[in-house]
Order: sequence, then structure tokens, then C-alpha cells
Amino acid sequence: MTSSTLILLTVAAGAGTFLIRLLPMLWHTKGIGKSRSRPLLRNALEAIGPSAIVALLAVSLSDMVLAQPALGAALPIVVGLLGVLLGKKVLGSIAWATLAGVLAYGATLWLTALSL
Amino acid sequence: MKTAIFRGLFDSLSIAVGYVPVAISFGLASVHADIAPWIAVLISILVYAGASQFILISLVASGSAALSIVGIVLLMNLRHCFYGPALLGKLKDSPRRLPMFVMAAGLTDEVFATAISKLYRQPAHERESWYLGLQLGAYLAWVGGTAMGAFFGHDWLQNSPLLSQTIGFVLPALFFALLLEIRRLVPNYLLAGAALATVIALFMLPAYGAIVAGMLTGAVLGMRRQGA
Repeated sequence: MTSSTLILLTVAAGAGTFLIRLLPMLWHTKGIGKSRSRPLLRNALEAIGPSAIVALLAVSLSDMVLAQPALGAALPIVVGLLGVLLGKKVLGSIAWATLAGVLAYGATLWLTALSL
Repeated sequence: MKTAIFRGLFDSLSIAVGYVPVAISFGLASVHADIAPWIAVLISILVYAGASQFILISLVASGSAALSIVGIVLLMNLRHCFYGPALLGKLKDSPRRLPMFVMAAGLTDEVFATAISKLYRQPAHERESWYLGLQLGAYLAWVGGTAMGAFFGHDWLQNSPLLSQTIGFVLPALFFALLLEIRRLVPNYLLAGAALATVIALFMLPAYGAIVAGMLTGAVLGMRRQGA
């Protein structure tokens, strides 16, 4: 593929992605009075955020588990998640909790590699 | 307003911790796919949607037709159409100053998830400014990380398999931390239902389809809530 085709492709993908994000917001703004009077729609919209987080977590974890389906490969993942949990309880912020989990995961990988 | 923007920038650190390693990986993968480093950065600037960018470069590398690549990228990003209205619902009591196209530009999975979990803690009149800072920090982390990976990162990961494996855990760790943050905002059955639907859908659909299935299941379960 030539560079100019790749640039055109990138511009099209970028513009399309932007419109996917923008247009529903514009439609929502126009119909905001209606959606306020519809508790079902409001409840559905409020549930989408937390559901998206759970879905993204499930997909990202399944990618990791399927990449290495052995039971031993699950140990660093479990320790990493416990690291996040502990980091969140002790340090509070999402950034530190994430970092604590990643460090716990990396340390377990390293120790597992040493013991083999 | 400035303070709120800086607070948003600070809160974007949690996203940056997840974005920078993945963006570096994207920069590296692009160069491996024979894409020029500056085009890799251009992809991150214009498309700004992690998973679909990886698919884009792999399809380019496999010689797929340009039109079908654009179609697949847009299909993958279709889930973003749910984010804007949900976000605006959280901002309904806040004064509106930002143009809508600015609000929409940086609405990725992680920005949306972080905004939803932290917006309620911001004073109503500062929510838009805080969100602007959050978006800006995440965007700079993604584009900057891509540039680092595309221009400089080749040697780092090549020389350290442990580092490259550890980087793979960054996004799950970020999503789990976000889940811990928001788990009290909705009932547990809703979260369990969304997770179960996603896992079942993964057997039948590609990952982006499973994410949409999980979100829609959560939305349907959300409709059943009384007096929410």
C-alpha cells in the first residue's frame, strides 16, 4: 500500500471514528428534554458506563488467559489483580492501584521464570 | 476553571499509566509492519482508538483493501456511539461551555470509563473543565507514547521479554482499578450480567462485538432498576 493511500485511509478512519463519537451527542442534545422524561432510557444510559468497564475487563483478561491457557499462567494474573485491589485499598488512586497491579504481575512473572 | 483543567490532567495519569506502554507497543508494531514512524503518529493523532489502530496496521500489513480496512475500523469503534449520550447525562446539571466537537474528540473507552467513575466527585460548575483536562492528558499520553515507540522504542522491548510481557497486563489492571472505583454506583447483578454476557459473546463474536453485547446487556438490566 502506498503512503498516500495509507494517509487517505487514516483520514477516513479518523473522521468516521470522530463522527461515531460526535453524532449521538448532538442527537442526544436535541432530544434531551425527551430523555429526561423517560426513566427507562436514563437508567439504560447510566448503566452503560459501568457495563462497558466490566466488558472491557472481561475481554482484556480473556485475551491474556487464551494466549496462555495453562493453569500456571493464571498465577501472575491473579497476583496482579490482587495487587490492584491492595493498591486501591492502601493508596486510593486509580493510577497507583494500576501501577501496583502491574508491578505485582511483573514480579510474579519474574519469580515464576526463576523457579523454572 | 484552570484548576479544574489541571485536576483533570492529574487524574488522566491513571489513563496515561495504561496508555503509554500500549501506545509504545503500537508505535513498535507499526514500524514492524513497515509503516513509517510519522504515519504511525498520524494514525494515533487522527484515529485515536487503541484496539482498532492495532487491527488497522495488521490489515495494512496483510494487504487488505483500503475500503474494507476503514469499514472494519469503524465497526470496531461503533461501541463509542453509546458513550457520548451517557456522558452528557452525567453533565446535565453542569453549565455548558465547551463545543460538542471538543467533548467528542477524545472520548475513548478509558476516558469514558474514568469520566463516568470520577465526574460525580467534581463540583458541577467545574465538570466540563475537568473533563477537558482528562481528555487532553490521555490524548497527549497516547500520541506521545506512539511517537516514543515508533521513533525510539525498538531496542527497549527487544532486549526485555519480561518488560514486553508485563506491559500486556497494563490495560486489564486499569479496567479492574476502574471497576473497583465504580462498583458501588450500580447493583452487582448488573455488573455480573454484563460480564457474563461478554464472556458468552466472546465464543461467538470478535472482541469488539462482545464488548457491545456486554454493554447492551448492562443497559437492559439497568432499565429494570426501580427509582434509579
